[in-house]
Amino acid sequence: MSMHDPYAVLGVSPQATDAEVKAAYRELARKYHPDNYVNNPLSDLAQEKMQEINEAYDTIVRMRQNGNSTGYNRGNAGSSQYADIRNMIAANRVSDAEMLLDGVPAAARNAEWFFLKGSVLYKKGWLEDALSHYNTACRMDPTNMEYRTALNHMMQNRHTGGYRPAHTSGGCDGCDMCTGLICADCCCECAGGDLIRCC
Amino acid sequence: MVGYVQMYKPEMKMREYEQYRGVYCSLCKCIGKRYGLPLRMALSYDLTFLALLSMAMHKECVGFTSSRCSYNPLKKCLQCQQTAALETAADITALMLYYRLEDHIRDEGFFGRLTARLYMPIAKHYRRKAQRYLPQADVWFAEMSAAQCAIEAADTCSLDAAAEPFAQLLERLLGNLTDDPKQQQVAQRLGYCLGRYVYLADAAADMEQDGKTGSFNPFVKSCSLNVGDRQALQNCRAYTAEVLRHCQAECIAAFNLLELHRFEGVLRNVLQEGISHTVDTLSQPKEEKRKKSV
Repeated sequence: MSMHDPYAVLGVSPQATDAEVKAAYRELARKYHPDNYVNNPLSDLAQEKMQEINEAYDTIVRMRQNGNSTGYNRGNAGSSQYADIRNMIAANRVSDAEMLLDGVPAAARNAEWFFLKGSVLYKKGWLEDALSHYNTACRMDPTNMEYRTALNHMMQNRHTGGYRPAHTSGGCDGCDMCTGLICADCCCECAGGDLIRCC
Repeated sequence: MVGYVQMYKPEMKMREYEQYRGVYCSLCKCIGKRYGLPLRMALSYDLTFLALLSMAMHKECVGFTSSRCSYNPLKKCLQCQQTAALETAADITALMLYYRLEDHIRDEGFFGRLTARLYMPIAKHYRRKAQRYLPQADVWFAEMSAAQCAIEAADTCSLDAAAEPFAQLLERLLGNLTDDPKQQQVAQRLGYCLGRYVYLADAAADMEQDGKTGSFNPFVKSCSLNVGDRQALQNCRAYTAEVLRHCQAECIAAFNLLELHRFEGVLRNVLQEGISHTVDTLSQPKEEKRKKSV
């Protein structure tokens, strides 16, 4: 992979503070996090992008001599009877995976079957059928975090449209109020008074 | 099936709006020059989006220059020098018009069919021309049309199956915008999810009407909708909003992975705020539609 300027990858200037670099990294990680692309046919490209972002952040942190490197670990689904089908899905061999899944008799279809069939449908873009299968998988195995996470992510997308609206500028929150009062207190004390006794 | 992929002006930067209008006006001129005045009536924001996306994915500079509107010479507008993307969008406009009219002749009521038949001769002429420029695209459109007929004849309840032909068409059209294999994969996914969104948005817009007339509508089928029941109608509208937002989320996930050389703000406005606004409008009852914003 060609070496890009790490600051350009994170979209910050080389003079940015550590806090600004961290905020930029967090924003990008939120966008390209593997959880957003679970079973998505573009997951390998998203993974490449995420790797690029992680490397850029690590490089900047190392260059600034902090020594902390961050990274992420994709959750391992563990061993399963459908390991070969999982491998096919991960390799985007959607038709092959679907054919094998459809070959399983109806009576033998467990929660994992419904989850994997849902994953195949999601890769194909058949979102409604995918949702229905994920729902069934979660109903059959309510404690499985892999199925629950996938379902929750889908439900969130159905309500938010998959993006966070840009923050509106202006307005005043609690932090602004406290900051304003502390500044007013400092100015008052410089002039000889004391706005807030305990500060 | 046009009008569902538009900008949302209140959240657009002035610069982005000027770029959007510039491409829209350039597309209008390109259609006029390539096909003639009548096809300019079929100018749409949806194909403007396609032209913008194509320009964004290629390195060549768009080269805006100042010009004047052909309809209103007092009005200034921007003109693009890079015309390849505009020509493709013009050709697809012609193909889309022809196949939409064919669809109307099959499905609409008496007056709908009559109107479609009146426009058909000129649409056929435009289609023949577009076929020479984009033979592969015409084949894709024909395949979509045949598959759509088969789905409607089968009277399926599955939203996914109903949306598949149009989704596949847009998958192919957008995949054709680039030669880079990785970017092609991304563009295809964006095309599939956008095509799915457009088809289902059109179905959502026609839901009430189709419920009354008994025409094929995937939402009426999947919700077993009785349009006389207000609560059921409201529930079905809420469901359509969820389905459309899901398509939107997938479009944005794909869009985030595209390597764009320009117009990212414009395109993001269309996919985020634009689609959200359309979905909000579609999911409201007709009698409570908000006043049109700026």
